[in-house]
Formats: sequence, structure tokens, C-alpha cells
Amino acid sequence: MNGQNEILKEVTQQDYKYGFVSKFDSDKAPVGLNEGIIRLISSKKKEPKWMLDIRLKAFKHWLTLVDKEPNWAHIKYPKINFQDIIYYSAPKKKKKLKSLDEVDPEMLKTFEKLGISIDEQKKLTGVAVDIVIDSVSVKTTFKETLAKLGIIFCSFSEAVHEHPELVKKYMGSVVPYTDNFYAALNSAVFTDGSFCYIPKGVRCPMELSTYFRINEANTGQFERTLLIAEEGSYVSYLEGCTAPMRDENQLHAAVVELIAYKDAEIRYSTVQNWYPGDKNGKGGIFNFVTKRGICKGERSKISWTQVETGSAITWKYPSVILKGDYSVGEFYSIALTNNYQQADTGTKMIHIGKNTTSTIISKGVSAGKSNNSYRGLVRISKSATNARNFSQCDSLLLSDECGAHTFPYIEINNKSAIVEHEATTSKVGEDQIFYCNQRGLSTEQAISMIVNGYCKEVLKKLPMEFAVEAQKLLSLSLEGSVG
Amino acid sequence: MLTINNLKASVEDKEILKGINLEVKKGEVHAIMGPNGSGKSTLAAVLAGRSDYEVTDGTVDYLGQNLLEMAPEDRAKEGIFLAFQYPVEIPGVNTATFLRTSLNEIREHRGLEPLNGADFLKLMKSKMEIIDIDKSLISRSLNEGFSGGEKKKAEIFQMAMLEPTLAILDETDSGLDIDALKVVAAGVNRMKTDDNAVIVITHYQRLLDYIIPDFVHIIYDGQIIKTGGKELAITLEEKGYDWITNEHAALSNA
Amino acid sequence: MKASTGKLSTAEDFIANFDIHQDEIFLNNSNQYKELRKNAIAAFESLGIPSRRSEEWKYTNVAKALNRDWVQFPSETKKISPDDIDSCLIPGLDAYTLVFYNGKRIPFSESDSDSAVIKEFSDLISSDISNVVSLDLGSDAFDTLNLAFAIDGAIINVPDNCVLDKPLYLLYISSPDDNLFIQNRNVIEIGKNSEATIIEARISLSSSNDFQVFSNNVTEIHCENNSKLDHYQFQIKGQSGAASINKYLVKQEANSTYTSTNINLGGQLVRNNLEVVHEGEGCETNLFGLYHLIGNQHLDNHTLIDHKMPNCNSNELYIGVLDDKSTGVFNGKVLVRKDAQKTNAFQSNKNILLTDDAKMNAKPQLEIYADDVKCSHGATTGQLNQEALFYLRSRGISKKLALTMLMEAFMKEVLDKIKIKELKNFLTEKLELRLNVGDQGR
Repeated sequence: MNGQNEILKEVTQQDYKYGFVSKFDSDKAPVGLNEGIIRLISSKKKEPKWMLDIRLKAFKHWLTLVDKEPNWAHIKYPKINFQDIIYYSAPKKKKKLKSLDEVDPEMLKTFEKLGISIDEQKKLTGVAVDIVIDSVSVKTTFKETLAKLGIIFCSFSEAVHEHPELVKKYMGSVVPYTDNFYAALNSAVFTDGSFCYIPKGVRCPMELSTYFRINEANTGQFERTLLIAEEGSYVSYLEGCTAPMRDENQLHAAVVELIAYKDAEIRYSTVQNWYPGDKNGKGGIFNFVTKRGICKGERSKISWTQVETGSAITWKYPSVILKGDYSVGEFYSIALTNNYQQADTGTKMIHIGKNTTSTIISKGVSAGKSNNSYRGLVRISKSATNARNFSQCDSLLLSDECGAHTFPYIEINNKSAIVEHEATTSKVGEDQIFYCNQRGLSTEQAISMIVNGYCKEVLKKLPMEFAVEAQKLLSLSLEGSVG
Repeated sequence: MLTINNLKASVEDKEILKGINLEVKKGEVHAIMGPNGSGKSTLAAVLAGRSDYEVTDGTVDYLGQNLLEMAPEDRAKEGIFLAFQYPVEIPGVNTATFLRTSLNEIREHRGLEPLNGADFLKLMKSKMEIIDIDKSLISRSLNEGFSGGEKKKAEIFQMAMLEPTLAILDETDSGLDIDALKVVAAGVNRMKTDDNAVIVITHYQRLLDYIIPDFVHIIYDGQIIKTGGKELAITLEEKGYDWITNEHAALSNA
Repeated sequence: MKASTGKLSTAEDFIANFDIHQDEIFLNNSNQYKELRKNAIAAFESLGIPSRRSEEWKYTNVAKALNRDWVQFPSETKKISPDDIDSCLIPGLDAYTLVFYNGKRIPFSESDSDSAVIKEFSDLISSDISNVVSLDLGSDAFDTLNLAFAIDGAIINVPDNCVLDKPLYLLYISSPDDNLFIQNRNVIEIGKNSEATIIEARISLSSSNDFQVFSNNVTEIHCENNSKLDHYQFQIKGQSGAASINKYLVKQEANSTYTSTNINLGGQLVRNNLEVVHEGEGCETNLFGLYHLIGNQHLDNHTLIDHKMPNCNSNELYIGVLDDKSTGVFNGKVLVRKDAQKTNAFQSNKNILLTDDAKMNAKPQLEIYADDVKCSHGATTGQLNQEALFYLRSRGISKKLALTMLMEAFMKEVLDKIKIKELKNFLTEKLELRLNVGDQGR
């Protein structure tokens, strides 16, 4: 076990591969948060008055919540000074970009270092990428192809200008600003994000993807994503996140809203590998995200898949409101924590419609001195006749100093419901490692392999190109952590 | 005893039985044969009163009563016994307790005194000899952990205990080796009288070597397409189901 | 002594009573115990009565039950008849029996009081209590409240190397119509290498109307090295009149075995807090629970197994059937601390809902800080097996009887854990009676 510990340590102690700071000019707001800052953000983005009104309303509400940050999660962190954060920062736009060639070469290099070269993505995978660097969408590719099908895929700011009726109708309809502390904050200060609209009967021909990246030191990242799938449509959306290494904790409080109409299906996949802090627990991203989808129509389906390996703190519960009869909600998650990382993540499945079904598969892997919690709610409302839920929450422990926790909440208000929850906690089997050792694998390789195998059920839910990246990430995050 | 007239039934809007006609008189043994998915087991389930199947048309008269209107337990009390293809395991319900409850419910319906513990044990012992069933099964939970063969034998044992008027054996032969098959068939034959009747549902002819049917019906796509004597089963065994389904297709096309 | 009547919906209401009734509360108290009570009431004052905003009380609204006129220090209560006591005894069971009526111990049988293991409550409060009562006031408001006020309870002390020849039957009866707020504190010690069986019954004679008796009880249990305690608790009757909060604090030393079997059939609002902590290696803990709820019954089972030491096992199984408009809560936590390597912990909660008005809230939790462990939990909620129901009916068994049979079969898993034949028969009968009444008699 000791030898194993050594190797685990070695792997975890490897420096953050994505820790570098790109140098390009950015346009920043002064530190702090007040009505003036919100007006500034709004005016920088040349927003119409209705948008500013929403922001101000949310801000007013947020002020009533100050000092009432949620504290029920199984995480510990120093109090965040919300007046010590820069709420707006945009790379200075030189001109409107027509092609990738016109993109700041520095930025392209950044992507190369991340191993997600747009060029490559474009050529090899046909993924349409909406790149968000420090809150402003710089360039959207493949827009025209999508436009032919009537699909709208653009930055949130663009949607505010060009599709105000859709934004007005749907923004806040799933996650109202009154929902929680961070949702209120986001609604007040969100800088940009992605907007996606799939018209009736259209099957989006490619994976839509946004790469988020937090760049400027001390910049809060407040993304806002809104995705609407009309009747009978289908879309698969990928969200990947990386952030460079910084000493101060950076706050990220995104809001994602999904709306699926009758017979529509939304698959939303996330790979999050934001900077988790160094091996002593210094630095790293605070990630407080509100993600929620509503299955509005009959037989609609929302599926969340997430691979969380980054952030110092993750507080995130992608949820589904199953309103339409026969609608389906899914949550597949891998959360890997190392060093001093803390993750409190899970889902909420709110069954309202009849014959609704939800599946929860959560795999937690804890290493180092980290703490990893699954927290989930399954609620069967009185109206949800014949609802079904199956939950499986497994935890794997890689060190004797980490913690793995399971906090499911199960609320049943209809007798016809069948709800099953199972959870197990175990460590990597020494016999398994020995077996691999004996066949010539290093302990590190063995553990990486065992962890990947353990997570397979979730990995296979990811789109192909993402799955490969996620697998690499898992191994990378485990490097040096083996022990 | 049993008159089935144009019986149609569906499950989840899919029609499985498409107009079954069948008459069973007391003292008769009927075999119903057919390929997988032809509706054999559905017919058994509908006769026993399973609620998953919706009867959309037709009538079933049993001893002068409208069978379709009766609750499953009332059908059992009137003497209908279904030997299940897949007997359900019920953990926590002791087999002997279950059987005594069942028997006394049926006896009460027939105007008989309930059996006391000692008489019940005596009866059980005598019936166990017929079926050659392992005694330990009786003290276990109902069907729980029984092997496939044990489950089938236990069904026939229950049948011997309850002495039905109309017994329906739903693929009781599947999963049985030849020795068990003989035991089961012998049990059925011993219970056979001039006052009761048996419907044997089976895919293969081999059980019919031991339980000799008076009539053989071939069911295909929800209808009885051919009826004959015991020799029909043998022909079927030799020529296979294709023979009869092709013939049927030819007829319907003509 | 005057009886104080009033709502007990705020901490202040209790503190006022504490001041008014100091003479009674402090009677025969050692100075240490007086200090302890004062500290407890101070702790209670700062904690207050938990609201549903408190995570631990998320699904149980206790404040609502307290918000009515209660008598905390009655001058006298309705007498209990010998027949009433007899109706609360377990037929055929030979046991040392202690009877508490409305919170006060009443004489029952002379021979029993002679049993060397039964001590007086005054022994506890008049002595140096530091090694008996847990001095950690913790964060449980009802525990501190009990510590401050309780002036009677069962004090059991089984000496080392002693196997108790028959079970101890602790019978707590409460009367109807007196609106009493009762608090008992029990301390049970099982000496080294000793074995005992304790049966605890909570029977409320109240029959109609809402909340006529509220009891808040704490039982401290200490199992010494290599000891074994079989602890049965059951609650019957009073499903529309009695509220109770029962806390059990169990401390297990090395190689001890503690088995708790909790059968809940009665009480309108019941909250059981069962906390077990392992202070030594090689402990075994079994927690079993069974509940059948009808009418407006609300039952909240909270369990915590604190695995502090290596090489310990715990096994937990709670099973329930919820009928009518009843509500069930299961909140089971398994905590495995850093040093508790080689822990095996299993937990299971299974429920069946019979109506659309019944509710079940389950929160099974694992909190694990050691890596060489095997832990799992499962929670299921569903209906009776429809396939099985059809099978039984097809054998001539009526739907109602078939349902009863299946419910009994479902609950058998826990009933079978009861090792005392008389108790098992008694409770099985009570359960059957409830199941057979079906929809008509209630």
C-alpha cells in the first residue's frame, strides 16, 4: 500500500498541464460589484433596456441574499469577497472576424496548448465551436451550415440582439433568478455564453460545442447558456472547460437552461478540467453552477453527462424536471478529485408527468486529501403515476486520506412509483493492482486502467471524440495521485 | 364445461388473440400447440384472468357462467387451475401456509369445512407421494430458489392438492428432463377423471406421449387454424410448424 | 405544586418552566448534576426548537406538534387500572418488568425491584455522574431538553461477567387526555463479558383527537468489552394521539455486539434517533426496523453508525409499509472515520406505498474517510409485486388476503430477527390485526 501511495502522490503532484497565461489585451471592468458595474456591463454589450432591467432586478434580489450563500454542501472554503472580483473582461476586439486566420494568433496558440485546436476540430471532427474566452464569444464557426437548417447557434449576447423574442421567452424560465444565490448573481452580471435553438423536427447534424476558458486573473466567469429544442428535434451539445493556473481562487457561477419540447432530445455533455489548485490546495477555480433542464413535452428526453476532474470546489447539480408524460431524464457523472479538491455534485430528478423515467449513474473517484460527495434528489410528485427511477452511486477511494460521501434524498408521493437507489464504496483492490503488476503494468498504469474501467459506464455515454479526451483527462488527473 | 367463442385479446394495443373458438367438455384432454408467439400462453393467461390482457371481443362460458367477468380468485374457486409457465417466486410466503390458505378458500367456496392442520398435513403427504416432490420444498418460501424442474413439479403438486375442474398446463414440459416429465405426466393422469378436463399447452409433442390428448389444436397468429386427434401432434412433430403455417398461408391466399 | 399549562413551542416556554419548577427538578441532585442541568438548559436555549429548515428535521415538523397546551409538571394524572397494565404485558413472557406511567415509575412486582441490575433514578442524579452520563451536550436540542428536565427513568446496570437469566421489560405507558409532556432518561450499562436482552415498550392509551401526549426520551447505552445486548423497542397504539421523540445513544467498547430491533406500529408522530459509536475494535452493530403506518401517522427514523475504530461491522435493515395518508422518513447515516479501516457497513431501506396519499422520504447516507472499507446502501420504494398477487389470486386466495400475505411476507425479514418467541408472536399478532382490519375498521 505504501508503494502505491508513493506513486499516487507522484502522479497527483504533477503540475497542471494547462497552466499558462495567454497575453492579449483585454477590456476590463473595475473590481467590485454595484449597480454601476451592472450598467457598465450592459452598456459595454450594447444591450437593450429590457435586458438591463432583468439584470437590475436580479441584482436587487441578490442583495437580499448577501450573507445567505448556500452552506449545506459538504465543502469548506474561505468566505468569498464578492466585492473583490472583476465582473467583466473581454478580449479587445480589433475587428469582426471572418475566418480563423483572423483570430488572434496568441489565442490560437492557447487552443493548441489545450490540445483542442479549432483547426483540427473543424477538419477532423466537424464540431461547430463557439469559443468563449473570458466571457465574450469571439468566433462562431459552422454557423452558416447550421443556419441552413434553421438552427440558431450563437453567443448569448448576439441572441439578445438578434433573437430577443426567444431570449425574453425562455431566459429564466427554467432557472429563475430567484432560484438560488448564484443564479441571482449570474442573472445580474452574466457576461456571455451560448444560445442554441433547434427548430421543429430538425436533427442537428453535428455535435455543438463550446470551449470555456477562464483567462484573466481575478475574473469571475459568469456564463449563461440557453438551449431550446422544439418538437421532435435532437441536439447533442458539448461543453469543455479549462483554465490557466492562477494563485487566487477564481469564481465561476454559470447558469445553463435546457428546454425540450414534445419528442425532442437534448444530450448535454461536459468535460470540466479547470485548474484544481496545486498539490497544497492553493489556488484553483470555485465552480458554483446551476444547470437545469425541463422536459416540457411528451416523450422528451434530457441527458446530462459530465466528467468533472477540475476545479478546487465543484458545486453542481444538473437537474431535470420531468413534466411531459413519458419523458426521460438521465444523469451520468464521473467526478474525480485529487489533492485538496472538493466536489459536491449530483442531480435532481423531479418527476411530475406520468410514466416518467430517470436514471442516475454516478461514479466518484477520490484521491489525495480530497473530498467527493454525491448529492441527489429524486422526487416523485403526486401526479407522477408509474414513475421509475434507478440510481447507482459508486465511490472509489484511492488514498487513506480522502473522503467519499453519498447523500441521496428520495421523496416519494405516489404509490405506483418504483424507485431504487444503490450505492457502494470501495477501494481499488490490491489484488487487482497486483494482477496488473504481475502482467507487467506499473501501479500507475494499473490504477489508471482500473479507474477507466470503473468509469466506463459513464464514458461510453459521451460522444466519441469527447470520450477519448475524457479518458486522457482521467489518467492525467490521476497522475501522481496513485497511492 | 368451457366454451370459448371468438375470443380476441390484446396487450398494450397489440392484438394477440384474433378470434379463438374452442369447446372443452368434461372428461376431455385438449392439447394446444403452436410456434412461439402464436398466442398459446396469452390464451392461458386470459382464461386465468390476468389483467395485463384486455379482452376486446368474444365470450367465454364456463359452467354456465361468464368467465371473463370473474376475478382471478373466483375462477380458481370455481375450479380453474393454471400451472404457470414461469411460477413467480414469493419470498417470505411459506409454501405450506400458502397452500393451506388456498385450499381452505376453495373448500369454503365448495361448502366444505376447512382442513385442520393435521388433516392438511395428511393430505399433503399423500399428494407428495404422487408427484415425488422433495419434502423440504414445502417448508421453504413459495418457489423461492427452486430449480426450474422443482418449480414445475411444485405446480403439479399444487394442482393435485386443489383438485381443479379445469386444469390448464402452460408449457409445463419446458425445462423438464425426461424423468421429471414422466413424473409430471403421471401426476396429471392420476388426477384425470370423467368429471374434469385438462388443457395442455405445449410447443413440443413429447409431453403428449405421456398425456394422451383427445383433441389437438394448432394455434397460429392468434387463431386456431387446425384441429385433429392425437395423430395431428405426431404429424406436426415430423413435418414441423412450417408445414402447417405454409398450408395456412396457402389457404388464406386462395 | 402547581401545574403549569401552556404551549411549549419556543425555548423560552421551557426555560420558564425550568425556573418555576427548580425545586422539583433539583430534588436530590448532586451539585454536579445540578450544574449539568443548568448547562443543558443553557445549551437548549441557544439551540432552540428545530424547524424544518434544519437539515436534520427537514421532513418532520415537530414545532407544529409542540404548539398546543401541554402540562409539563402535572399535580396528578388519571390513575391507571391493573387491567390497563395487564393489556400492555406480553403474554407468556417471563421478564423483569419496570413500569413507568406518565413518566413516573410505579410499583409493579416486588421480586423485580429486587433484581440487582435495576437501580434507582435517584442513584444517578445524586452521585458523581461524570463517568455515567455523557457530558457532551452536543447539538441535539431535545437531548439537552431531556437532560435538563428528566426526573425519572430506568437505570440498569448489568455487572461484569453476567448473563441475565431473563429479559428486562421496560414498559412506558401514557394516559389519554392529560396533555402531558413527559421526559424520561434511561441509562443502561452492560458490563464486560455480560449479556442481556432488553425490551422497551411505548404504549399510549390515548385513542382519539390530535396529540394528547408528547414524550421526549433519551436512553444512554454503554456496552463494555465483549458484551452483548439485544435491544427491542416497540411502539403500539396511540396512532392518533401520541407524539414521541426517542433518542438512543449507544457506545460500544471492543468486541461488543449491539442489536437493535425497532417495531413501530403506533404513535401519531414518532421520531427515533439511534446513534451508535464504536469506541473499540471488533464491534458488531445490527440495526433493524419495521414500520406499518396508517391514518395520519408520521414516523421518522434517524440512525447514525459512527465507525471510529477499525475492524467493525454494521448491518442495517429498515422495512416499512405505508398506508392511508401516512408519512415515513428514513435517514440513515454510516460514518466511517479515518482510522476505521477494514470496516464493513451495509444498509438497506425498503418501502411499499399502498396509497397515493402516503409519502416516503428516504435519505440513506454514506460518509467515508477511510479507504480499506466495504460499504453499501440501498433504498427502494415500490409496490407489492403484481405478479405475485396474481399468482396467489389464481390459487383462489382473495385479493385482500393475498395483499395481506404479501405484506406480511415483505415485513417478515425483520420480524424474523426477533429472537424471543413470545415477543415475536405478540407483535406478529398486532401486525396481523392491523393488516386484517384493512380499509374498513379505521
